[in-house]
Amino acid sequence: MDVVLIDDFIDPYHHLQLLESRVQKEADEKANEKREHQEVERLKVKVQKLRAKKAWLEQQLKQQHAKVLTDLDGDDNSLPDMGPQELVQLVAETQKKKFEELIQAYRLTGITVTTPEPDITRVCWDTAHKGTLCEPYYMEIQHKETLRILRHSLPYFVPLETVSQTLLNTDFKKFVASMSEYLAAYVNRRQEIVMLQEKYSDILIGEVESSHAADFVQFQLKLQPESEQIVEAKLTYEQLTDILPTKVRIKVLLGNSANASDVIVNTQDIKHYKECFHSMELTKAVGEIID
Amino acid sequence: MAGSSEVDIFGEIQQTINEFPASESENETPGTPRRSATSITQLLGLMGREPTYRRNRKERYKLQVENLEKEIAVLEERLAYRKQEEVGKLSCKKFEKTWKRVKRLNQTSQLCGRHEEELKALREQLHELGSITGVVLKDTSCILKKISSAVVKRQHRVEGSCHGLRFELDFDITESKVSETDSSSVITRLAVEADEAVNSDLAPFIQRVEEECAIQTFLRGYVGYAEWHSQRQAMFEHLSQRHPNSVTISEGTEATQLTFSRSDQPGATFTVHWTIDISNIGKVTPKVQLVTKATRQLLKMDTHGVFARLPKRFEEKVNSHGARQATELLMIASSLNAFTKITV
Repeated sequence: MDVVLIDDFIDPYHHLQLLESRVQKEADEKANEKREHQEVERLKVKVQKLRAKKAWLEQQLKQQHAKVLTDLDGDDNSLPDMGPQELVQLVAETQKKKFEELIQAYRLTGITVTTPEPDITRVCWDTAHKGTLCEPYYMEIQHKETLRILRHSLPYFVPLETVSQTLLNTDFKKFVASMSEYLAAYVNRRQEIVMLQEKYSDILIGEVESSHAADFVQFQLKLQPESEQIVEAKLTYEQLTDILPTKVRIKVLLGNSANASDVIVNTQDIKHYKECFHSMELTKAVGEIID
Repeated sequence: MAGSSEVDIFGEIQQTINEFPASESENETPGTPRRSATSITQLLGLMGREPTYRRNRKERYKLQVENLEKEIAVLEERLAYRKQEEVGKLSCKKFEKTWKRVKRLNQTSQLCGRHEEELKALREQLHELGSITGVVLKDTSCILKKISSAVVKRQHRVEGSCHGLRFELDFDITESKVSETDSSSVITRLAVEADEAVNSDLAPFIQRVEEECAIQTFLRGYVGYAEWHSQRQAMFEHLSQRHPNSVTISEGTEATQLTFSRSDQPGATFTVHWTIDISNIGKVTPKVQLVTKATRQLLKMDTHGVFARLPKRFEEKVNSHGARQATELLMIASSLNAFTKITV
């Protein structure tokens, strides 16, 4: 019996298909291999570059730039021994950094102005409460024929529209100063309330209530733990630029089980409390009252 | 795992090398490409291990890249910190002199052009900030003290002036990282030195702001005070130059009062007191008052009580027209007809 060859029974077209798919598979595998190879080569080059960068950084750290700069900063006229290009680069870059430091230092004033684009001015108002730096507020102003406010992050109760109509296109410096005044006063009033709650939580009864703009504040104090007497204070700041209240109302409330003998606050005391609130910031005034 | 598979690979390579035919012609068939054990890659290819080996190499490179990037990030941070520290200690004023020196040198003057353009833009920005804020900052230096990775302390010195009155601030800022994106800054120490001309006037205000480390309150108050101070100084200078024989200013140009009198009425003198109050919270209030002095004879002649009413009228004029105009109007009014030469 002759050996029956399998090939005799396979359809030639099917055979062709098998061959084609095998060729395709081999081509795909070769392409994948090529990609993998390229990726490995790419990574190899990247490693070399990173090693070079690391070496450069380590060398920079070892260099005695500090001494060179200190020598340049001195009063004598000698210059360090380095090439002219290197010297110019070093001195110019250092001078630029010093100017940039001065520009940054303007944040201490609470007002900084930058020009991110040729016709856009950005004003930043940094706020603070005593030594603690608080949140900044921003405004972008477009200047073409006139100045126009594009966007801002100021609180809604700041009378921006009124002030800008009067000052924005007539006295920009005054406009910026005016906004600074509103924001500084608001942050000051707000932070005083926060400090009051933190410092005097043991004598405060309940929470300190205030408006969003912190231009109305109401709270109750129990000056002595053994007494039922409660002092209620309502402070109003008529102008949003006020740091001290313009109206102070003090009420003395007696608790349910209180007797006349529990009264420790008299008319003279109330007058004194009012004077304290009128003349001192909130936390200091409360401190003065309880002393 | 990679390690153990590498051991397997090399074991198999060795085995394959040992099994390789001694003579290549033994197993060679026409058309078949020559196979030789010249590279591990080829051997691995023969064994079907090449893709695995290349994958492991790729992982190793990736790991190296990752580690190097981390190390570089740390080094860059250290370098930036070191540079900031070095530059921070320098005096801005002194370094500007150095830049001018470098520009004048023959071998470097040509190279300065591009840098000078950039420096000019920065100077203009500083000038604009000075005119908007009323504060002209002249020098700053900083000593960095890193306490931990989350806390940095800086000791700053800032020198400047407001309307001609100089000041110096020496303070510490402690910056603490609260989270990845958030940090808090607190001024923990403040020493203020105001212009010696006004130091004594501002002593209580300065003491208060130093206690509270309130730099913004100081600068806001100082700008307001300096503005009024410069207006007062300008008015006193103008009037004393215009009427050198009749106007006397107390204590030189840092004075708070100006006195004048009429030559034909030596019995009457007018003193304008101009004080500038500054509250503990930095609110500035100028107070301009008129004090009149007249002889008894003159007062007897003043049947309409003009002298008595003058201070109040003067105050009203100050509120409506400003101190300078009110004073000049008073000087004119006090000369009756024409404004003749006034002598002391």
